Parts: sequence; C-alpha cells; structure tokens
Amino acid sequence: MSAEGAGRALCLDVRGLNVAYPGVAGPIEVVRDASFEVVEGQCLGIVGESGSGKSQSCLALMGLLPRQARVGGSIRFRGRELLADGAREARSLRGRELAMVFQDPISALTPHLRIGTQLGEVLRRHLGTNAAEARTRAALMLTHVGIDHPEQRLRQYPHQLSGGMRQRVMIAMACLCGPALLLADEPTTALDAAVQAQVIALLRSMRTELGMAMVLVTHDLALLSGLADRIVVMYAGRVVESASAAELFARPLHPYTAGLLACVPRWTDAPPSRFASIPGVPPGPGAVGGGCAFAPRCTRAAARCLQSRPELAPRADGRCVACHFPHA
Amino acid sequence: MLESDPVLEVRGLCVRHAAREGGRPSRAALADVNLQLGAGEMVGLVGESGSGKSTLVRAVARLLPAEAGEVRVLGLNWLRLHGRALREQRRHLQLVFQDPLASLNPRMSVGEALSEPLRAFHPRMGAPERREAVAVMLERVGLSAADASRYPRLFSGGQCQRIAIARAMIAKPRILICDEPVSSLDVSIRGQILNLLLDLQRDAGTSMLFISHDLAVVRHLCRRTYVLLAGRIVDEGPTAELFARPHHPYTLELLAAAPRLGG
Ligand SMILES: Nc1ncnc2c1ncn2[C@@H]1O[C@H](COP(=O)(O)OP(=O)(O)OP(=O)(O)O)[C@@H](O)[C@H]1O
Ligand SMILES: Nc1ncnc2c1ncn2[C@@H]1O[C@H](COP(=O)(O)OP(=O)(O)O)[C@@H](O)[C@H]1O
Ligand code: SF4
Ligand SMILES: [Mg+2]
Ligand SMILES: [Mg+2]
Repeated sequence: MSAEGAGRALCLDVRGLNVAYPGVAGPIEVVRDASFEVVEGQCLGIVGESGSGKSQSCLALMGLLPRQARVGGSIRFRGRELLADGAREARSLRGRELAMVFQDPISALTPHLRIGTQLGEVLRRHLGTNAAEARTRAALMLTHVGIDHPEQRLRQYPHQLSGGMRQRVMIAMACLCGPALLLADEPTTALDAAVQAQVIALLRSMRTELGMAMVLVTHDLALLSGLADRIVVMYAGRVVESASAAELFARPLHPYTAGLLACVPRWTDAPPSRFASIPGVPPGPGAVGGGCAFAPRCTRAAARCLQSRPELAPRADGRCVACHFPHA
Repeated sequence: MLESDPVLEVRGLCVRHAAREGGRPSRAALADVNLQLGAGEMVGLVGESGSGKSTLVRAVARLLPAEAGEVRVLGLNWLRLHGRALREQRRHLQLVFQDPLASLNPRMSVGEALSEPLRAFHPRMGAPERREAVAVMLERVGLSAADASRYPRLFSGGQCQRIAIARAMIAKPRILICDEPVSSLDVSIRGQILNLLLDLQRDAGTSMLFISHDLAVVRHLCRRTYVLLAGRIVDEGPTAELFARPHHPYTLELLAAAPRLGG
C-alpha cells in the first residue's frame, strides 16, 4: 500500500488473479498470481510487454473473458467481490461504476450502428434514460471529450471517424454513467503526438472532475510519467515490480523495467545508427518453465535465475521486485 | 530534391469521402497533395489525428477512389492500371496498417497468411521453399517458425502487428507504406522492428513511406518528412532541418506536444 494512499479506501483490490485457457498439454496460464490495488481517486499504471496479460487482467475485471477462460483469485471492487459465484451484482456494476476503454476501438464499437445510438443505449441500459435526454447527454459528453459538431457526429457510423476520434468516442462512452473506476487499456496507442497529449490531458481532467480512480494500461512508460500515482510492471503474466511512479522512474530495480526505460527514444539523442531494444522476444503463452521468465533476455541472468523463480517480495526499503539480482 | 526518379509520386491528389446521407458533400479529405518517394528512401509523414494520413494511404493503395490527381508507381500510371498489369504492379507496393487485427484474416493461419503473397507473386515457388521462407520471415520479425500453424486471435495486438509486417515484407516489395507500424508494438521491441525496417531498406533497397505520431522515431528514421494538416501538405523538408527550424506554425505545435520522458 502506498504511503500517499495510506488511510484512504481501496477502490479496487486484486489478489492472486489467475487467468488460464485449456491447452493441449494442460492449462495455459496467461495471468499468474497477479496482485495490485487502486486507492479511490488515484491512478494505477500497468505497464508490460504485449502478451504479458494486461488486457486479460482488464477483461477479467470487466467479466468479459471468453467462456473457455478459467479465472481464479479475488477481485474486490469497493468492498464487493466480483469473482464470487453467481455475482449478479457484479454484472450491474460493470459498465456503470466500473467502465473500460478498449485497446481496439474498432472492434469495441458496433460498425453498423450510429454513434448516437450506441451512446444512447449505454445510458438507457444502465440508467434508464429516455431517448431525448440521452441524446442531449451524449452530445454534451462528446463536446467534453473535444469532438466538434457533436450533433453531426452522433449521426455518423464508426468507420466515418478517424482513429483518434473513435478513441475519444470510446472515452465518452465509458464516462457517460460517471464510473468510480475507469479502466483504460492502451487508450492512445494509435494516436499522433498532439492528440495523444490531448487524450492523456482529457483522462487526467475527467479523473479529477468525476473523482474517478483509473487503471491506465500501456506499454509506454513515458505516457505514465506525470499521470500515474503507482506503477505495476508485468512480464509473462506476472507482476515483476511495483512502486510509486516517482521511485520507478528515478530508480528502476527490475532489469526489464530498466530496459524499458532505456528503449524510449530521447529527443536529445543524435539520430542513432540503431534503435535501442531489449534483445529476444517476450515468451509465448505457456512457454515459461521453472526459472525467471525474463532470463533469456536478461543481461544480469545467472545460473540461479534459470533454477528458481524470483518471488515478488517487499524489501527492507519498502520496494517490491521479483528478481534475484535487481539493480541497486 | 531527389537524386533519382521517384518510385512513388503523388501529384495533385484530391480525395473526398462519400457524402453523408441527405447532407451536403463533405469537405475534401485530401486537397492537392504532392509527394515523392525516391528509390531506397525513407520518408516520414506526420500530422494530427484526422489530418488525412490514413486517407492518403488508402487512396494510394486504391482502397479509396481519388477525385483528381495522379499516382505513379515505378513510373506507371497506377490509378489507371487494371487486370493483370494491376496485379503484377501490386507486388511492388505493400502496406502495413495502423490496426493489426483488421489487416489479418481471422480464419487464416499465420503460415497461410504469409504464404498468400508468395503464391500470388512467386507462383513457381514450391511448397517446401515457401514454408522455409515463411519460417525465416517469422523469425526475422521476432516470432518463431512454430507460430505458422497458429491463428491471429491467439496472438496479442503487438504480436499481430509483427505478423502483418512479415506478410507485407515477404514478397520483397519495392515500396512499403507503413501507417503507424510500430505504435501498437512494445516499446521493448519497437527498436528491433525499426532496425528491421532499416535493414530491409538497406539490403533490398525498399523505399518506405513511414507514417507515425512518434516524432522522435521519424526524426531518427526518415531523411525527409512531410507534414499534413487538414488534408494539405503544409510543411516538408529534410527531417533534421524541418524539426530544428519548422516553417509552418503547425509543425512547431506538433513538436511542442511530443511526449518527453520525465516531462
Ligand atoms: N469513410 C469515411 N466517410 C466520411 N469521412 C471519413 C471517412 N473516413 C475518414 N473520414 C474523415 O476524413 C478525415 C481524415 O481521416 P483519416 O483517417 O485519414 O485521419 P488520420 O490522419 O489517419 O488520423 P489518425 O491519426 O486518427 O489515424 C477525418 O475527418 C475523418 O472523419
Ligand atoms: N482466447 C485465448 N485463448 C488462449 N490464449 C489467449 C486467448 N486470449 C489471449 N490469449 C493469450 O494471453 C496472453 C495475454 O494476452 P493479453 O492480455 O492480450 O496481453 P497484453 O498484455 O498485450 O494486453 C497472450 O499470450 C495471448 O496470446
Ligand atoms: S531474476 Fe535473474 S534473469 Fe530474472 S530479471 Fe532478475 S537477474 Fe534477470
Ligand atoms: Mg493488450
Ligand atoms: Mg490514421
């Protein structure tokens, strides 16, 4: 629990989350024993490689995993357990108090329905708003997220909007019912710099205005600087480091976190002959053996890393890292 | 300007999206766009969301009709090509899109998806040779040969984009147009893919039009850059010069908005 959040209620408390899919050679675990929490009104950043289980964790929170997925652990949202059997309550919370902006706005919007119809349906379903009022509120929300001529946009179909506009519509849709927690899964991945900065500013101001807590999922650490209160780093389905944003940027402990920071091209650098990257590839699903999943790509790896898996443990200085030989 | 004849030349391109039902025709999405890509050149195209970058890509790829203007691909009047001539010329112009999932057929295994361009453009290649080429390409973009038998839905977004890049590159096109090719990839492997694009360009002499919102990457990758604003090219020049001394106030604005680590 973070010092700055001490004494404030937890909005979200995830303990030992597991997500697995049936595979030919036994279950394939894509999220393994992940724990994290979000204090009311605060922003948690989740950063990690593609395939590290960020989206699967979010979908588990939203109850949107495919039927064949096996989910274990505990997800408490404002004190209520969302993973309990027959949690009908969970269904009514999701979409209203707990809303999500998806990584892929194309598949999240229904292609053959006008934007206005889709926004209106959210209000009708969750709040029972009538059509005329829904239209007014939808238009207002579009203005709020920086879309001009909202009345005209409400009559358009998703394919008639640019990628950036679609993502704004998604944010508007998620915020319509005034959620307590907004999950944003890579909300600015495909946007240009100017709009990315605007969308991040938009998320920041929406969070303050609506008093929402936020989980911002990204693979871009630079995006989290100045926005996240705490950051959780995931690799191969596990949390490998967890720290306040300030600590993490100033002194990354896990070699993967340090590598990620080094990969961000700096404006001040002279054009390089090569771009920096972490060698190798992230492990595929289920490909992890007994040792540290990062070992094949880690410059600090030693024999011990291949034999025993480092546990995520709090250290004397209060930092949490899962590594046998962390950076000093 | 260019030292040799351009491999891709866009002249006075105008595109207007279909009118909304019952409404007036919409404003032009692209107005009088001129752009050149030299042999083996890496050229950047930047601009805010909605400025028309993807519209330009789609028009050049003939996925959208042009209202006016001309596109020349390796000297041929590309927008007027039909039938066999069009199919043959297509081999030289390949694309990588912004949205990796939309560009892959969910019912095709990765191996089939990568074999498709080989079948189309190298019909005499035998099946074992094709399998080998697919395996080599997959490893080159950071996947494994064993992934050939898997389907796109089993991969995360970033993994899908690597497959799309492999698919575009496997038939060794002369021109590759990349619409935000690495923006959905992991920061940790973006460098590998960018280095791969650099290698490809050097080895095969591929020319690349590189669309990106990441000005730091464009600055490091592209020799020349165009700036698009509301469907018009408003600024262009050698990238280093352009970013150091932008001519147009909009370029300045884009530069100011670029996220900086620790900022
Ligand atoms: N099918 C369509 N019908 C009507 N308008 C469209 C259509 N497709 C795009 N537009 C409009 O054309 C303009 C340019 O869109 P385009 O997708 O080319 O933008 P972009 O520069 O690629 O933006 P982004 O960075 O968000 O991807 C936008 O105003 C958009 O709303
Ligand atoms: N329906 C599914 N069946 C089996 N594996 C899946 C399924 N959906 C996702 N996965 C796997 O789960 C892992 C985590 O994916 P995801 O959460 O989307 O990663 P990211 O961190 O990029 O959001 C990936 O290895 C992916 O291939
Ligand atoms: S445990 Fe070993 S291999 Fe894993 S990150 Fe730490 S040093 Fe690297
Ligand atoms: Mg994801
Ligand atoms: Mg676009």
